[in-house]
Amino acid sequence: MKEYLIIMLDGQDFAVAAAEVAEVARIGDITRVPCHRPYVLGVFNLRGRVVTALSLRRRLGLPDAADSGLHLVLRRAEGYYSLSVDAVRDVRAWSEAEIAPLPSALAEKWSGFCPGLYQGHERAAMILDVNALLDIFSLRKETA
Amino acid sequence: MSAADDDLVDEFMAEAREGLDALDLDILLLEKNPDDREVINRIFRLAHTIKGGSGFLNLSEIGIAAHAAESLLSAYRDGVRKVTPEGVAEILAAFDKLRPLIGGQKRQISPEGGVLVAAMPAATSFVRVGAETLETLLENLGELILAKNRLLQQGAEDPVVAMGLQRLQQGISAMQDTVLRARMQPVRRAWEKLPRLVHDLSAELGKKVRLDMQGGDVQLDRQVLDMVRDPLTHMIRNAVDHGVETPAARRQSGKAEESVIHLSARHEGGYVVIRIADDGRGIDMQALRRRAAEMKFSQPLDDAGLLNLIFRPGFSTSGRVTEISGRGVGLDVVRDNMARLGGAVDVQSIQGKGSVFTLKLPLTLAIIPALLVEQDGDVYALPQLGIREVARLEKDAESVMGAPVIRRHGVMVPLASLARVFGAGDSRDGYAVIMESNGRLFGVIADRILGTEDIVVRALPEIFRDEKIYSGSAVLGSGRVAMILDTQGLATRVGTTVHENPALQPEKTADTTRLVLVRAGGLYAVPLQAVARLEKIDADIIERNADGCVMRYRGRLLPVLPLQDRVPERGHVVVLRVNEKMAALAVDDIVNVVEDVLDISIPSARAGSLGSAIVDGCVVDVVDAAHYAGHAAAAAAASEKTVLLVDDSDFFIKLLVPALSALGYQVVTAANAEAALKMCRDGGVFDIVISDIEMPGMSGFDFAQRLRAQGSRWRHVPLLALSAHATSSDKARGRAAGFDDYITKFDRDSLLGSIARAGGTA
Repeated sequence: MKEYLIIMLDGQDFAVAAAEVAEVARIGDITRVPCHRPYVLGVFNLRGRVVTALSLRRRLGLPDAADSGLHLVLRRAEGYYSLSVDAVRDVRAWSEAEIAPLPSALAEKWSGFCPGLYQGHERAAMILDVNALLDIFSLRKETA
Repeated sequence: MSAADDDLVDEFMAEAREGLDALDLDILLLEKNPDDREVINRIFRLAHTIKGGSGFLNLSEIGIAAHAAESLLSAYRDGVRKVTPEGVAEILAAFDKLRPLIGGQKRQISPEGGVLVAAMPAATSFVRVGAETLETLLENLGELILAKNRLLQQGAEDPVVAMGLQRLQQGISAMQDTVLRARMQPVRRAWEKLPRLVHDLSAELGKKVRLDMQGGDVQLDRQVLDMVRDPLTHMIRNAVDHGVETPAARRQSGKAEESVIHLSARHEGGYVVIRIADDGRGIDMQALRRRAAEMKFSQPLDDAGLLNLIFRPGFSTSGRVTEISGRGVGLDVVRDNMARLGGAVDVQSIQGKGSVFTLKLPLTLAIIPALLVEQDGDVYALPQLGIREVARLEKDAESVMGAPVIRRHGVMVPLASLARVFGAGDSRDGYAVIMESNGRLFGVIADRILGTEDIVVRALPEIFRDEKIYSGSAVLGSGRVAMILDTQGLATRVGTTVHENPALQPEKTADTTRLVLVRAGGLYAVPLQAVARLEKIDADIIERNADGCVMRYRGRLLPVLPLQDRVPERGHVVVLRVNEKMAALAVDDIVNVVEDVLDISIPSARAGSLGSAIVDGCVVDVVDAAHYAGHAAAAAAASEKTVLLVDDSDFFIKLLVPALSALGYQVVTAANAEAALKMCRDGGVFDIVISDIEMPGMSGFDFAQRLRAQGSRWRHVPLLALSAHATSSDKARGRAAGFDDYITKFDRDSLLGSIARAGGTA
């Protein structure tokens, strides 16, 4: 069994391994940073730490929506990052067996950062691999 | 083993490591002068000390190796053996056996290693502090500064709180000085391994190379030092491997067989500049041209452009990849490292004569003064080190081919709005911040200037690295995060003046003179050489009072003198500088900057005018800048007080002189008490005398006594003592010697306060 944070984006459920998330924070004051990557929102101060804020909607290619101010804060070797989400719905523990590979229709677009789909008894949720989302090398390649 | 013993062992190991690091230099010295007794003794003592320490601490393995080295050295010391190249190799081998036991390979970079910390420059005792402790200290200081900045932003109505806040601020800024100073290490620490490296490499390659090192005492922040160590090693390797020729080749081209690599460090305008100069073959420009042709640039590169190619990733002109210079790691890595540091690397080369690499490094990265600017509602920090000037942009800012420019020192400085740099529109309104990068000028336009703040530099989030215009981030007093803009990156985006800072350039030809043509009733010409700055007359800059007009310029007040009968309400001022004397001339208009042969046809009898000349086809009156500058200096001198500062520490003099000058004092310095006494005897007139206590030769106490006894003129002059430590008994002693006040050296604010008080009574 592994714990997942279930988040909402554009009406769809996504799940992020809870162990990957340092905290969920409501952020009001982001300093915008002009940048070539449209999904970079800027930077903010979280108790003295500089956190780089990314829009998860934009990162996944979903349309923009009103800012909820909710961010998943992730700690990585090279620093702190956050991903903005519409809402955090729940925390659930699922077993490996409940997670299936992506159907081929979805795989083409999502396989990069979506290793599987939860299809147990509750609402379906796409599992997000935050490390893949934040992998600087993949971020670099996009602009290269 | 007890904890106390552990500490002892740590300390012993650290000291032994340091000794071994310094040994390489001595070995080389010995190689050069086999009969140098002092060097042999020094090496002997090292072995002896390690042996003694290891015996005391029961470190038998180290003891055995040290004993072997010691016995070997004693044979040389006592003249039983003569120093030969084989002998030197033997000595090296003996110490090499010790290194792994002591861990001499990885030095103080590792957190567990100690670093030698100078408590204060004037103090004579040293303590060893773990590198980690220093880092923690800096981190905590960072937190304090943040908290302080936040409190300052809130402000305080309550006088008790306000006073407390002020003291807090003073305490923190003194602590900041001390912590940053404690982090400083002599640049020699990054050099210690190089003599051995050059020795081994040249032997391997069959070359004769001498490494000449100068300026090893120059101090650098340890973080900077750590980051420069590898690039430096790399460049020295390059110099030995690619730069210098084999003895045979050198003989053929008529050079001495032995080549010399000069390594030097010195201070230069807030940076430390390290030069690596070799007298080798230089960089092959033909090969660069061939490579450039392969790379198909849109336009041909000039020589500087060609040379810059060597900093490109994967670039190599040498057909062979050698063991020594390694694969993959190239000068591009060096350049990246320098850029990350906020420094720069540059190369010059003359084919057949050699190459010079220059590394420009900031003194510290940890806490820097920054100018905060606002653009589109967000705050950005610009490191003050690169900033030359800030100017309000007028609506009618000049432009060339549609791009905004600003005139400075007779050249057009290219400008770009930050909005444009960020790719978010454009704006011509606001303030121009003029910066210098690699000796060239450029400027950015921001909506607003918010002020200055000491910022604690945080790492640049990885994701912004390839934007190339940010160098870090910082949490401001407001609690918001600001991005630190990278001066060099901005310069690349904006473009710079083509030539290096013209203020530093020699005149184009000896025959022509550059002149600023101004209008004040008639036409006047001011030699550009005497012009420090041109400025619009603006209520913000010029103050009018009963005696006339003054303007603030770089922390001092300059009288504004009319070129005709009075200072106009509108128009410009020309700031003149002649031999460090300054004045401002008020004129109606600035017409042009021209270059012409200055031929004064009708000399003038009128003071302030050199005569008439024909410039640019018009008859103009040539302004005698020296007359106005002298006039202003005379007027200022009457109100200025002179301070005599006696201190043997260059560092401290450098710290204090600008601060005192900014307060409006003339400062005269003396490096020791004897020189100061002589100045006073020889008719020097000083309104305040400030003296250090601990000085080589005559101490501050003796100086005070002798000065007070030197006649009535010196009996009542305010006399302030400065010292690194001021206990109450020190203070009593100071008073008895004749000092009026006793100040701790690093308490800059109270020092300036005391001086202001003394100045008031003088």
